[in-house]
Amino acid sequence: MLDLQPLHDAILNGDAKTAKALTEQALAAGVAPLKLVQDYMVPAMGEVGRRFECNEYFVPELLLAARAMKGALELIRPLLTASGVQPVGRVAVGTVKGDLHDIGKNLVAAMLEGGGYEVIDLGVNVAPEQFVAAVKEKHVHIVALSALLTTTMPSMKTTIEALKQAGVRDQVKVVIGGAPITQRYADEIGADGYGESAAGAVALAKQVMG
Amino acid sequence: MSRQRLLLVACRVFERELEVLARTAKTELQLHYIEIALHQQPGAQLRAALQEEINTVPEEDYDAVALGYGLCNRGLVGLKAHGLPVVIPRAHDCLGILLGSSQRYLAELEKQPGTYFQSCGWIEHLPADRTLRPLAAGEGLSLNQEELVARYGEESAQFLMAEYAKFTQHYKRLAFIATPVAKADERERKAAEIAQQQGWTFERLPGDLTWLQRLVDGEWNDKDFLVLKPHEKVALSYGDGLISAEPA
Ligand code: B12
Repeated sequence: MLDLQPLHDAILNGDAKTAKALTEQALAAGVAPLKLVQDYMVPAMGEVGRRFECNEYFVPELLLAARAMKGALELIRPLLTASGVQPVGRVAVGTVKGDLHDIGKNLVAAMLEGGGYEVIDLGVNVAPEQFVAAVKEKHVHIVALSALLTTTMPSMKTTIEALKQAGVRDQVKVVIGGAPITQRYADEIGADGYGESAAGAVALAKQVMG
Repeated sequence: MSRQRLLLVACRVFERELEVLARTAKTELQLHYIEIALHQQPGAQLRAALQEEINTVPEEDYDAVALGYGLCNRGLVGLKAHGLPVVIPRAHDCLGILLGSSQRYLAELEKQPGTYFQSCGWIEHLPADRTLRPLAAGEGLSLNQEELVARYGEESAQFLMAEYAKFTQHYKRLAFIATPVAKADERERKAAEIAQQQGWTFERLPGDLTWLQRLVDGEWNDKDFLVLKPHEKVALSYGDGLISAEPA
């Protein structure tokens, strides 16, 4: 059997070239694409997240690891689609109105993609109406909001209110995250879930979708 | 009545402004600075550093401790008063304090979310090649190109520089908060230069030092300041006051 631990390590070490080469090898050897994602890539990103939280990894390591994962994922995605594997769900992600921080949001998006979700990235400074439109037009199952400023946290609340106003609040799950956010804040504004890290985003999405 | 003896532990970003305000302070003021931790540290590290300061204040020498800090990424949440009261502005961060109110800070962000704020302290302490070329700091983020190459290799360094360049792609305006301090003109020119290099518009926002002034003068109304009693700690409050006190 092909030893795939090096694929895990290549992603962990942010080595995009090796990750890609190993993925090609594994696919050529007939390893199931989904197995590569679930058993090696997602756990590698989980470990990346853990190291980031313990201050062993910093933003550059995160960016390099995400690039390595995305590169490998590009080889796998067409195969998944061809074999009829449906996305687990559709998620709209965005940084809330007034806030332009997107490093964390991008990582959350990458993790969700790795976890088999179809991700619609609405970008930064996303107005409540844009989230509403994504729910109405793109029929997303989950709206994932990010905020890095205590000054823009209230935009999360206004976004949830806008979803209610538009009558679509019960069609979607809302999850929130970002450095200043807490579970208590999520409860306070009526979000369905709170995630402390990008690594946990997939588990969180699964949990809220029930 | 003798003047209140106040120890102000402040972020170095306020050094120039506090220099001016200290001259006329109505308290018997002692200033103690902590190096700028702005974009460098997660909230927990700031909290640990401030807690250490609070715990080691010679308490017989002062009547109260004041903090020249905002909530700063929840860095102040959980902070405990020791034997003396601790006074904290109910501010999001230094920018709101220098603008004189959270209301004005929020209005400026609302007007143009793509605003990068600067003040004399920012210009002085966050050197341009570290905060501006990648326009970000923090461990790893503050490395310059040569350092990135040394740490990650040529190819990865190039990728990282390109990513860093994207960090500021949505910014439109540099807002310089102008305060009446030493070398303010020079700092303002520098800020205008940065705006030009980045292709942003430059705007001068007159600073308003009344919030900081009330902090050093001992005029702590409940609306703008939280006063922790001994053995209380800071909690996040989700209403208007931003922070509140709870039993430690
Ligand atoms: C990098 C950075 C910047 C970069 C942003 C680059 C970019 N494109 O994103 C630059 C330099 C441009 C910048 C600008 C500003 N910044 Co800034 N910035 C930071 C810094 C250092 C790191 C943020 C970061 O990217 N962390 C790394 C990522 C991976 O972590 P994260 O975002 O927390 O995300 C993780 C989790 O939270 C979670 N997560 C995030 N979102 C979500 C969402 C969901 C659904 C889930 C499940 C999880 C999740 O997953 C991620 C990975 O695990 C922080 C300080 C800090 N240490 O947090 C300050 C900080 C956030 N910035 C701050 C400030 C004040 C500003 C400015 C206003 C400064 C100015 N002079 O104008 C502007 C903001 C303008 C605006 N309108 O947005 C303050 C905020 C204070 C406050 N009031 O709350 C901080 C805390 C710094 C400080 N101590 O003063 N900043």
